[in-house]
Amino acid sequence: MVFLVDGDTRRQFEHGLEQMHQTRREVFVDRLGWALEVDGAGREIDEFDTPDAEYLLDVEPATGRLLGSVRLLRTDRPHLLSEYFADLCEGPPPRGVLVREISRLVTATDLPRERSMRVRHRIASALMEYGLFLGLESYSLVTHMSWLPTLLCVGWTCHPLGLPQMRDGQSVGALSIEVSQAGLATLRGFGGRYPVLQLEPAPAPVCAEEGAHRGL
Amino acid sequence: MSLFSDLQDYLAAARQSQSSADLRTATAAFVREIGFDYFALLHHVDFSDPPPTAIRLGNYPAVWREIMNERRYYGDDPILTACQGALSGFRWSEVDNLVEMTPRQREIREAGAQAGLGDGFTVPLHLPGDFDASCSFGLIGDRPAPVWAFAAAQYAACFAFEQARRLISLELTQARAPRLTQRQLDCLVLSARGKSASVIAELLGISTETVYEHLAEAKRRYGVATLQQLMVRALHDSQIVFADVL
Repeated sequence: MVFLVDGDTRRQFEHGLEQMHQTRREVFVDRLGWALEVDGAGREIDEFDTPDAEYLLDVEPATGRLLGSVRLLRTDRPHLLSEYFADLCEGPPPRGVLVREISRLVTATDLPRERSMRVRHRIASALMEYGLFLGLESYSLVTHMSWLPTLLCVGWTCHPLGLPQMRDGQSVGALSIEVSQAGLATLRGFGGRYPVLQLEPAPAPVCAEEGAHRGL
Repeated sequence: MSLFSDLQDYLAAARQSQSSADLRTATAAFVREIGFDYFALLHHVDFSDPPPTAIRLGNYPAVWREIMNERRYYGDDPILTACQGALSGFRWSEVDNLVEMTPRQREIREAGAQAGLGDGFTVPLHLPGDFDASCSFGLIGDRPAPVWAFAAAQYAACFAFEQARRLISLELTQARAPRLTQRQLDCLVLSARGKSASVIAELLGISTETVYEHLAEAKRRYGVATLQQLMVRALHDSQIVFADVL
């Protein structure tokens, strides 16, 4: 089951978010050697991990273990593409309320390959479901070209935003992912056919503050 | 027309291709447009006994294809070895830096040069859970490779590979799936929507016995005993789709 975490529901997902930042460090810093900031507690957190950011967390229902996660950023505010990778776009980076940028897509490091692919597929499906729910047109993202086959094989319909460029000896590119019913159908044709996104928060522990309800 | 718009046109054509042959035609045309002569998109497997999902698509000069097959060069091609360590595309002139060439690999390189193959560029394609693959873009003769087009070639390689994978998967599924007649499909879809045989008979203007016969024949073609099994398999093969029955 994939949960949406936003400013309103962050408190209920503290444990999940903690696991997410640890997994991001394990994958991007420890394994891939990216030059990212790591805080004293071993969490990979950057300037875009603000209360405005949204996350999709794929949580193992029985154990509460985080299987995978991705971050969504609004593009009408500073984001990776606008601040650091604008030169990867042929025109201006896509911006506005109909586009979100996705980044930091990870799966837990101890999953066997096939399970990891299923987690990726679930997150991809959840992104499409959420995009349709919000009425988005597309998602934008930056990726190393070596990851592109893995991204495409999940079943997304992607369009390059410009030609790839070399950064630190590796080729990186910016792409746009179509959000559409047809896109969701294609994704579902490649894997699980049922809805995976849980928009309502999981039942919350009793909270002393003004209440965990989201006014829904 | 810029390189990027040429790439976008190619990606649209690749996405629309309905067969491996279509994809080859579209890719060959794009490859020539950006200044190469031929391409080769392939899984790194032994093609004397390939797995059914193995991709081999391209328009290598025929003389080289024959030599490759006769002498079983595909496994030992130094380009394939260079792919193992490479994350991004590389020019063939860099292979000496990437690979310690064995005598056999040198032999392959020389044979290629004698067959008229010149400079080129290869994009490695790593996909967890699948065989390694690559897409190479080559030249005949001694023109230098169009370095300015390498970035577009990177994208073309990835999208061509993904489309080739989807097409081969589709071709395999269609080859395996038993064919149902239109009437058999009609009865199955209506049944999946919860209609009884007598209602189906009325809707289609046939007798109830005929409805049962159509469904029985469909089950026979799939080699299953129950209607539920038939529905599951027909949905899996996309002979009926969820949109029809929900």
